[in-house]
This record gives sequence, C-alpha cells and structure tokens, in this order.
Amino acid sequence: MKRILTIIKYMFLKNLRDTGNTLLQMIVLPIALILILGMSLSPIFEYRELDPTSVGYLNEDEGSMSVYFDQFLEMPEISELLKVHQIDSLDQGLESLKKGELSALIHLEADFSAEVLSGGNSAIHITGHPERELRKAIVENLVEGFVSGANATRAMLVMGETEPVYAYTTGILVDHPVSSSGLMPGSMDYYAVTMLVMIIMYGALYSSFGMSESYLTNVGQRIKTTPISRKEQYTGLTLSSVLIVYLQVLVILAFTHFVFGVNWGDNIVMIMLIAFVLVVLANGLGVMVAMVTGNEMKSSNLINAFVVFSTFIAGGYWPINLPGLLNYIRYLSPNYLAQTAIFNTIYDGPADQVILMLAGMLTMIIACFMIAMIAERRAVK
Amino acid sequence: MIVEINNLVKRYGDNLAVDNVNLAIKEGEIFGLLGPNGAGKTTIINLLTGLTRFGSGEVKIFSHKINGHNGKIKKHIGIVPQDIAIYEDLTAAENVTMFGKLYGLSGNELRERVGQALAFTGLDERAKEFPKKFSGGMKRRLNIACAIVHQPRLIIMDEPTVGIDPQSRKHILNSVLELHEQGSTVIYTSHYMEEVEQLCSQIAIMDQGRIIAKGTREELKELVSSEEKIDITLTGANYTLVEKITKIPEVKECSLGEDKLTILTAKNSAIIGRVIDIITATGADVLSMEVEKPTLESVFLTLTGKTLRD
Repeated sequence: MKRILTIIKYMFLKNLRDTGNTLLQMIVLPIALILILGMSLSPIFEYRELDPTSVGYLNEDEGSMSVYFDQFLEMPEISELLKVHQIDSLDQGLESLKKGELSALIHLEADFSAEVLSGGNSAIHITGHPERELRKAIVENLVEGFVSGANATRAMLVMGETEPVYAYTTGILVDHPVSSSGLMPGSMDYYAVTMLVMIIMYGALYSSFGMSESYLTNVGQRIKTTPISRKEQYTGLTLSSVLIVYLQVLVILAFTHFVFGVNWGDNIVMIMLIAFVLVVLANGLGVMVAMVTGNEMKSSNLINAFVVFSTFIAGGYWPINLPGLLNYIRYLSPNYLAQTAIFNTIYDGPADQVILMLAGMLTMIIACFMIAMIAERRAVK
Repeated sequence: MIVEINNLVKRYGDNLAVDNVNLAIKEGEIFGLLGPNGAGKTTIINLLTGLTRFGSGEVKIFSHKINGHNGKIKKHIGIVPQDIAIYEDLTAAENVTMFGKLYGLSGNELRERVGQALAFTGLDERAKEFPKKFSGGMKRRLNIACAIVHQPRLIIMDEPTVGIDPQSRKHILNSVLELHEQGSTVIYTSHYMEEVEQLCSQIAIMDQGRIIAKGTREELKELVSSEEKIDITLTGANYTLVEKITKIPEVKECSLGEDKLTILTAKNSAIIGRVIDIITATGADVLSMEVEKPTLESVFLTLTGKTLRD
C-alpha cells in the first residue's frame, strides 16, 4: 500500500508540474468552449412559441358525443393551440389541406356518437399535411385527451351506468415550465455537460502517457526493478491519473456553476458520481490503448481520434439525430452514456436510464482493464 | 557466491540472445561484463533483475532462485540502467526520495540516505533543481544516486558512462571504486575495455550471447599472448647493438629504426636490465622506453576476430 501511495504522490506531483500548461489547457479549454459554443449556438436551444395550428373540422354527427367534442375544441386551452375552421365536406377539407391552408383535418363520421355509446368501433379521423408532422402530432395529442374521456364514458356504460357524464381530461395540457433553469437545457447548460464529458475523455491521454512513460519505457522499467509489484505500480499509476482528471472535473463543475450559472440540477452528488465513473472509464481506455499499442505516439493519435468521434456521435459538438441503426452506435460512445446519465439526472429524467447508462460505463471499464491486463502480460518477453 | 548463473538461455524468436551462459560472482567483487553492442550484456542484466523472462537455466542471487516478483531480493539490489531513467519534472532530491521509498526506506533513515546518495554523486548542492536543467553527466550521476540510495549489497551498472564528458566519467569511475571499498558488489557492463580493465577484478567477455572468456585481467591476457614488445627511443645507436641484443636467448627479434629500437621477446622474460646494460656499454643513450603488453582489446580481437567497437 505504501508503495502505491508513493507512486500516486510522485506521479500526481509530476503531472501537476509536467503538464502545467496541459493542466491549464484541460481546464481553460472546456470553459472557453462552453462559453463560445454556449453563446454562439444559443438560438438552437431557444424555446419558440408555436402559432396555433390550423385545423379543418368536419362534424357529420349529431349525437351527444360530438357535442362534447365541439365543447372540447372550444376550451380556451385548446383554442390557444388549435385554430379550428369548420368545413362543409371532406373534399373541401382535403383540398385545403393540399393547398397548405390547413395543417390537419379532423373528421367525425355521422354515426360517431352512436358507435361510442353502443360500444362499437368509433374513430376520430385525423389527416395531416405530409410536410407538417409536428403540427399533426400536436393535433393527435390534443385529440388523445378527448378520446381518453370517450373511453371512460364507454367503460361506465359497460358497467351499467345509464346516463354517463362525459369528462375529458386536460392532464395533457399541464403547463411545463420550459426554460434553462427548468426542465430543458439552455445552450450553456448543454455545452457545460458535453464539454465536461469531452474533456474527461481527453483525460485518457494522461493515463496513456503515464503508462507509456512510467510502466513501459525507461523509468517504468527501472521502477519494476524495485521491490514494488507490477500490480502496485499499475494501480498507483492509474489512480494518480484518475485523481488529476477528477480534480479538473471539480474545478470545471464549480467554475461553470458559479461563474456561468450553469444548471447542474439538485443532485450534484450523482453528477459527481457519474463524472467519476467516466473518469475511471477514460483512464481505463488510456491504459488499454497504451498497453495494446505499446507506443506513446500511436496511443495519443488513437485516443484523439476516438474522442472526436465519440463526442460527435453523442451530439457533443451540436445536437444530432442519427437515422435508424446508426442511432445504436451511440451506445458505444462513453460520451453518450455519460451525457444521457447527466442530463437525466439534471432534468429529472427516468432513474432507470441513469442506472442503465452507469451500468454501460462500468461494463466498458471492466472490458478496458481486462484487455489492458492481457496486453500487458503479452508484452513481457 | 552473490550471483550464480547456470546454463542460462534466452531467445527472441530465432535470435539466441543469451546462449548457455554460466557465471559466478563473488561478494565484494567488481565484475565486468565486456562486449560490443548487441553482445547480450543488457539482456543478462534484464534477466537478473526480472525484467525479462528466461527460456531455460537458473539464476540465483543471494542464494535465492529468481522466479516471479522477487521483492525481497530486489530490496538489496540497485540498478543503474543504460538509458537515463529519472523524472525530469521531479527535483533531484524527489527522484532519489521516490526510489528510496520504493526500496522501503522511510522517515529519518530515508532523509539521511537521500542526502548521502546526493553527496556521493556530487549533487547535494543541486538537490532542489530539476534534472531538465542538468548536463548529461549530472543526469548520469543522478541515475546512480537513485540506485544507491538504499545502500544495496549488489549494484548493477549497465554502461553508466555512455555519452558523457570526461569529468563526469572520471567521477563515475571513482564512485564505482568507492562503492566497492564500502563493501558493495558491483556488476559493471561496458564496451569500453579501458574502463573494465581499470575497475574490474573479474571480467567476462561476451559476444553474440556467449561468454567467450572469463577470468582476471591477467588470466585473460595470458590467453592470447606469448610475446612482449619493447620499444626504446635512443641516440647514438649502431648495428653492433642490435647484434648483441639478438644474442640474448629470450629475444626473438630485434630491429633498429632511425632512433628507435624494437625488441620482441618471450612473455615475462625480464630482459630489460640486460638490454640497458648492452645499450650503455655501446655508448648509446636511452631517451624513453615502453613495454607493450596485450590489452583486453587485443584479447577480444584475438578471440573474435573483430574489435569491441565493430
């Protein structure tokens, strides 16, 4: 244990001095990037008020349920979001939709109420403009609220109620605050997370360089001739790299919070834990690459390339959506796993997502260190 | 014996780096491993220190077989590697302290030993400076300080004087002698035959992974030489002088140049007194005299057909 502490102490001291400039860069660079990207790309993250969606409405039913639906559409919460245009025929509505005068068309057939009350197949038909998916989705979501009420009415009838009173839900219209201090990140908040994650990943260079210098080459070989065991030497070197990178993390967290006012959420302990797991993963990656290549320059190039790729597919430089199967590649990116875990922690996302991402990172850590150990054993000639 | 190597073999693929080497090194000796670059000296050092696994054979240090980690054995060995192995971003004192701690020293003992090691290598006044400001020779000395901080019983020095200035070289050679006087056993590898000749009481000559000769300096020279050459610079010499000297039974050949007399005799024939008498009797004056004996270089040349620096 004493020898491990000796290695940690002197490697930490050496890293502080040797990388005086590097250390500064590793702290200043992400802070500068957070500031620059946060300010210049802020429009991407701005919340914009949506105009009401123009909807054509054709009601051919004269029963009670369609009356309820009329009332539903006239509710203030709905009319803020939907601008309803009564139309006379389906053809007229489709024509207006085609011309782009409408974003969606709602159609109640003549037997709508009768079907609802008799328990038959009833439907509110929604046709959307092919190029206005978002608008159609808004209409569908709003109508969903009414359908929930209709289903409840039908259930009451089935249970024997003779005159069920229709009550539609307004739960879907709960007003969620959408601001940088609330449930959605502003640009500064977004880049504080992605740049922190990116810089932790660059921390792999510390362990890679440390392993190359203090394990594989001159001084490392010399240390091996002392009574220290290889395991102690290996552990000491890895822990010293973890320590120096984690120190940077704490400085960046504090600086961005107190100076830039970045929202790190209410659960800072969890954020620090996720960051710590990623620091260990980054160091594991660095150790693995150093052991497999056995060459400092190759290791450095590989790590640099991987961090750029991993940051990109995780949306670290700017938010991206990857199509289809490519989207699953993100799960191979430590950046993506860490970012998802951090965002879900800050913005009250599902806890199981955080646990899943942490489990993914822990699996990667085990894989990295196992590969590194196998490569190390092969390297001893 | 402090080190025993029996039938040691090490291969790197098809290359036989160490070929059935046998060595026995007594406690208190300065043992020289002499050979050209690539002869297998560093491989032997790496095998002794556990850095490299050997193929077959047996190595014993302090009567313990080397296998696995060997922490207890390593505690009493100090290694001065061929390449300078120190941290440029730790001060001289921090470098030595770190190695002292790794060798198990602590507290006052550590502080004292660090001071002694730095003083021994002449770096005590530069203790707080970073090696990146040091000359090559000073770095070499710090390289040694890190190896002797724990006052090991066995010090292994692998070409410790490569590429340094004469002053630092002299300092290092004197340090080796001083360490020997303090009771340490030293294994010293070099391809500078004059260093090995100056320092070592026992010498093994290596080439292509094999020990081609071993023994004391004198024993090695005995191997290759049956003659001595005497060069005498003189004035007033004539051919009568050559005739008279040639009549000495041990003299094999004698020739006279412009002012130089060259005599080839059987080894250790002790004829100098008689030669001087003859020269004086013929009225000539001796200006200088040199007896040329075989060197380790000539031993190596004879045994391998090439020079050490080939």
